[in-house]
Amino acid sequence: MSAIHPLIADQVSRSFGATAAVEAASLTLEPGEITALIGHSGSGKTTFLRLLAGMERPDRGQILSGDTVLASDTQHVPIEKRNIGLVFQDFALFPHMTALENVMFGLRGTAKPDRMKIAEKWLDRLGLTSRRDAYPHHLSGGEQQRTAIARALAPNPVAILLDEPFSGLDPSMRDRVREAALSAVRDAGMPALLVTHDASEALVHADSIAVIDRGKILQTGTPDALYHQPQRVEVAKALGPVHSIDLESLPGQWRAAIGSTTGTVHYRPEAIQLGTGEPVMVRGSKLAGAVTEVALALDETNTVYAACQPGAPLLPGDQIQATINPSLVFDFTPKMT
Amino acid sequence: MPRFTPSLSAIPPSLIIGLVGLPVCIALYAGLVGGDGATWDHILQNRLMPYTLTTLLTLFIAAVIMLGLAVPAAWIVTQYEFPGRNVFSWALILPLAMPGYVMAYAWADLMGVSGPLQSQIRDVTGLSARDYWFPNLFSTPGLAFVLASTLFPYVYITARAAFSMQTRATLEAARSLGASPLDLFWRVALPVALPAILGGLCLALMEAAADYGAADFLGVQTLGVGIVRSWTSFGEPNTAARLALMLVCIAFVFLIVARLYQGKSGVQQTSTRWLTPERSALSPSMAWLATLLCATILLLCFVAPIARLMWLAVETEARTTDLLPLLRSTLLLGLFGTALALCAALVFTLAAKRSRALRMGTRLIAAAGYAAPGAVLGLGALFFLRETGQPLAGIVAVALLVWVYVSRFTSAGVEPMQATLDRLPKNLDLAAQSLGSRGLRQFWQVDLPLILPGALAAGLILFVEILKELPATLMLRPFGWDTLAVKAHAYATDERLAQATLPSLMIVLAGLFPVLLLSWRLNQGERK
Amino acid sequence: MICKTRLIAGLSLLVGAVAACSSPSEPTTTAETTETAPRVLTLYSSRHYDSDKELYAMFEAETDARLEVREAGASQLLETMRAEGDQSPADIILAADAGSLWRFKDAGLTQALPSETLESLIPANYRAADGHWYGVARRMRGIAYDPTRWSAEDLATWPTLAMEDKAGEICVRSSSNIYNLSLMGELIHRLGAEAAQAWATAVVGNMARNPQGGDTDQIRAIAAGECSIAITNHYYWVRLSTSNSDADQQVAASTAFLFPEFSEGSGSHVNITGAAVTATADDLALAEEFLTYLLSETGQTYLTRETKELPLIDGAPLPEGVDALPALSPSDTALDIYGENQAEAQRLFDLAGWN
Repeated sequence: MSAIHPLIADQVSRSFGATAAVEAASLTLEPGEITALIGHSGSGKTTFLRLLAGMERPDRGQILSGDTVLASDTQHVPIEKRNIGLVFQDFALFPHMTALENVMFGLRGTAKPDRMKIAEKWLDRLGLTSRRDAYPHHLSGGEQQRTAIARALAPNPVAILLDEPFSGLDPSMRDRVREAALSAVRDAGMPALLVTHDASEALVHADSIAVIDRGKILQTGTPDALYHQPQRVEVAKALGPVHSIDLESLPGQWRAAIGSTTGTVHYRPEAIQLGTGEPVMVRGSKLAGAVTEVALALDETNTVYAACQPGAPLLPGDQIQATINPSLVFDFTPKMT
Repeated sequence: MPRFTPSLSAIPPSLIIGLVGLPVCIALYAGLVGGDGATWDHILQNRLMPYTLTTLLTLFIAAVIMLGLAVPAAWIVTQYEFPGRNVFSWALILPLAMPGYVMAYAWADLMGVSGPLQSQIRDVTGLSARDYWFPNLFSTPGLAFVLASTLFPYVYITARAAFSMQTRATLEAARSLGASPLDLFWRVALPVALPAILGGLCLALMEAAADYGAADFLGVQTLGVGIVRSWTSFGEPNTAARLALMLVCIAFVFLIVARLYQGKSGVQQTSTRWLTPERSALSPSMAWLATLLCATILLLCFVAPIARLMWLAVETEARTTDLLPLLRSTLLLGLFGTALALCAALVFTLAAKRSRALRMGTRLIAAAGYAAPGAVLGLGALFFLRETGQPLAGIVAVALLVWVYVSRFTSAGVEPMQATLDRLPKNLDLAAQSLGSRGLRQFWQVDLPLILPGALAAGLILFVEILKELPATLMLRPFGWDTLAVKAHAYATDERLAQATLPSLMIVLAGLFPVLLLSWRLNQGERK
Repeated sequence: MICKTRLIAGLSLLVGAVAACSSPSEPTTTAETTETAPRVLTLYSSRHYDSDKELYAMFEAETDARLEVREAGASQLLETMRAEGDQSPADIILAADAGSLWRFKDAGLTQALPSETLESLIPANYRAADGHWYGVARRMRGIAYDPTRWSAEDLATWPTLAMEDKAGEICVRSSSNIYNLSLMGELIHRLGAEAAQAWATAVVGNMARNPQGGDTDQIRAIAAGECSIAITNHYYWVRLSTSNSDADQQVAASTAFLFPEFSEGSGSHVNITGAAVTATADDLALAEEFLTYLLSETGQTYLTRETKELPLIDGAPLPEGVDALPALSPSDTALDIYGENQAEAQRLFDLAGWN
């Protein structure tokens, strides 16, 4: 068994024609960790994954597995020699092979019974024992995706890259499949990249998160750090809803809590806490899953948005009180020094 | 309402099935009940087995050649960049414009003992014709080669479509699992594309089975030759029809085997991303090898025979009668036939979409017509003519001829449309119905626009096929409606190859335009 | 006829337009046809020579009758006429083989045309005794050979081809060809079925290669050295010798041609192009006029000029090149035999293994 190394992208750039898809992006995928790469569509996240996998060749920069150079100005290890596992959004199973044959595809160098044993072990690991002889078109979406993950992990790759692996799945099964799949990936111990546009998926399941926008990696860190200390508004927006407001329009008590009096700040809805504090008027509310989103009128023209636990129904016109939690208010104004 | 109440929508398909199936059914039925001719016993005891075995052997070799030419060509054209790729990707369809019998004349002249190749050998070596070995075109493998070289584009078209339809992800997944380019082809791309390729192969083999002109000229005793011989030498059309039944059975076996295979193996995944795989660059030496492969195929199947025919025409200063009127009737018959056959194919395809049973039924009916030689369908039409008590002239003759075209070629039109439908998401129909679209409205607003790209391809293929059609046209054309194929045949049977060349080249030219259009359209489809 | 014109006149605009542009070579349009109603003669021909068309045009010019021609294989024309039944527009059948004419007669599709003119012009064995068909030109099946290898005596009769010294020397086309069938028909008539089959079997044993291609290909194979004896109709050899191509002329020059007999003094195998009047023809005078025209000097010239057939009428001008052929002493076998024996001939060929 080969030692496990981090997978490193160092100042990697790739452009198509005049547009830069990925620009000087650096990222280190640590073994045993799941790194989520989030960004909206067109942000360059898929190109970045394709660069790591070897499907694209970087224009500049290096890709390394530990000390081994996979891609540089002078070198390019093709995809079939990199031994990096890939999992696609649309599964990409071989339609003419059974689940077992799919998993066996990447195994070589050993006798067939051995390969079969390894493949069966991975199918077991992902709860597919009874489906080993089924063809992909007889498998459910979740089963197909788990098969694809087993197939990617079976050859013991140096890293595994997952491209929006769960977004094609039915929401009712998505959680279960994700749980089983990611725990298998984590247990396998190699570096893993989870490309997603679903911030909550990244926040809940990743060990670290990188935010990519217009080809640039803006910030990398733990989910907690990124959620609470985004360095740019794009990062803040990528990880969850944020709203902006002029400090001047806020009640004095809130401004005091924030410690700043002029300019525009961004806040997460859960920064506004209902109960005590300044009087505000309910403009409207709607239930959004686990939380209720409430629009609160500060005065005639200014409104703030809060997210709170569902409780007694709030009706438009209700007068309530609210405070602000300054740790969820972000000031991205360049500091004058 | 119970489900199996015959609905109004079943009427058009039934009518069309009757229309398409009737000529072949009448001919076969007349053959079966028409009583044993004096020679039926002789055919049965002495000729049926040899005819059948020769036919099967021809088809087998032709299948191997067609797969060998078309599949690698389609693969490299879809997967790699190499010099001339853009040209080859459409030029490889050109041989479709060559009628099989014209290809046979050209190659027989090139390869014959007094042809340029063998003459050169004798001039250079000083040997006599008996002293050296030379591949004999007048043999079963020779016939298979000739037929394969005109029909392989059917396989090429389907293989190219199947390869370019494969999701990029599937191929990339295979590569990420360590598959070499060769592995990719043998273990992933080919098995996935095989069901579609088999469909194209079936079509080409049925067409090859129905051949008479090339087999007769090359002296190979296939069922097609036996059918015509039973009729012309023995004067027994009934016996001819019975032999045709054998051909139809062979075609059915092909279709059913292909169907079983297609059903058994996995179908192309329902992916939302129909990304054409990106073509990768080849090393310079490999790239030139790819160019060489495509160029050789094109040379053998198109350029060399065409060049030889042109040379013959020039060398002997061949003169013919004015060919323009012939071109006109050829194009007119082609247009009539194509329009009707296209309608029939459209109805078949849409009917098949609604019912699985109809799907197999319509396929078999269409295949029966496609596998039966044109002469046998002509017999069916004459049987019908007898019942109506009309002379074979004017509108009656045109109608009968167009009817035979429809019966003969609808199958060639169904396949491309079916392929288009197979690519569409299954729930599109349901979506349309949920929006209150059904019946005629669904046809105009949903089905027709969706199927249109396939219908265009089908129309072009049908048109080229009808341009080339000979036996039925020869039998049924009305007075003054000689076609180019008829003229080429007249010169060729009189052993005036050089003169036969001019109408033959015009057939190719007339066929070239739709074939080019077809190539262009396929390329467009790929880019989407 | 009437039925047909009414039908054409009743066509829709579309088809009317199509029909008009489909036959631009014919100056008469359908509209004029109905108005002036010239006499129409419909020809079903299994010949397809461009020179025939010139001949038809000249006949039209001379007689103001109009010819309609359908060209197809004889068997196809026969089935077409059967299907058309009483309604068949055909008046004259023109076939390039006596056996085919017999078939039409046997199927009851012809009628007798008693004509003193024709009987006086055509030798008795080149027409049906009952007047059901008349020959108009002759075509002979003979042998082209390599004169450096054989003398004419070696090949004087058809049975000499069955001799052992011809092993590996014979080139011939496939058995379903009508000229081979007719030759076999006369062999069966003269030798009996058993001996004819034995002859065919021996010839198959002597073949240099599998039967293939046309007659011209057999002659070319001699020049190429693949064989030294080719069974062929005379006119293919004549056409090579009068070809525009030097290569073709050399092929003819390197070979010789002869008309073998069946046995010494039996005469040689003769076939004909002939015409029959159909059972549905009603303008018999016009039919006779046409046949007589075919036998006129112009008719004989145009029938044979391009085809290199031999004229049927003694004294008619010979086409260029046939003077190189040896003198002919024709067999006096009644030609109906070819048709009667045709199926049997094919059966015996099949049994002999002659593809």
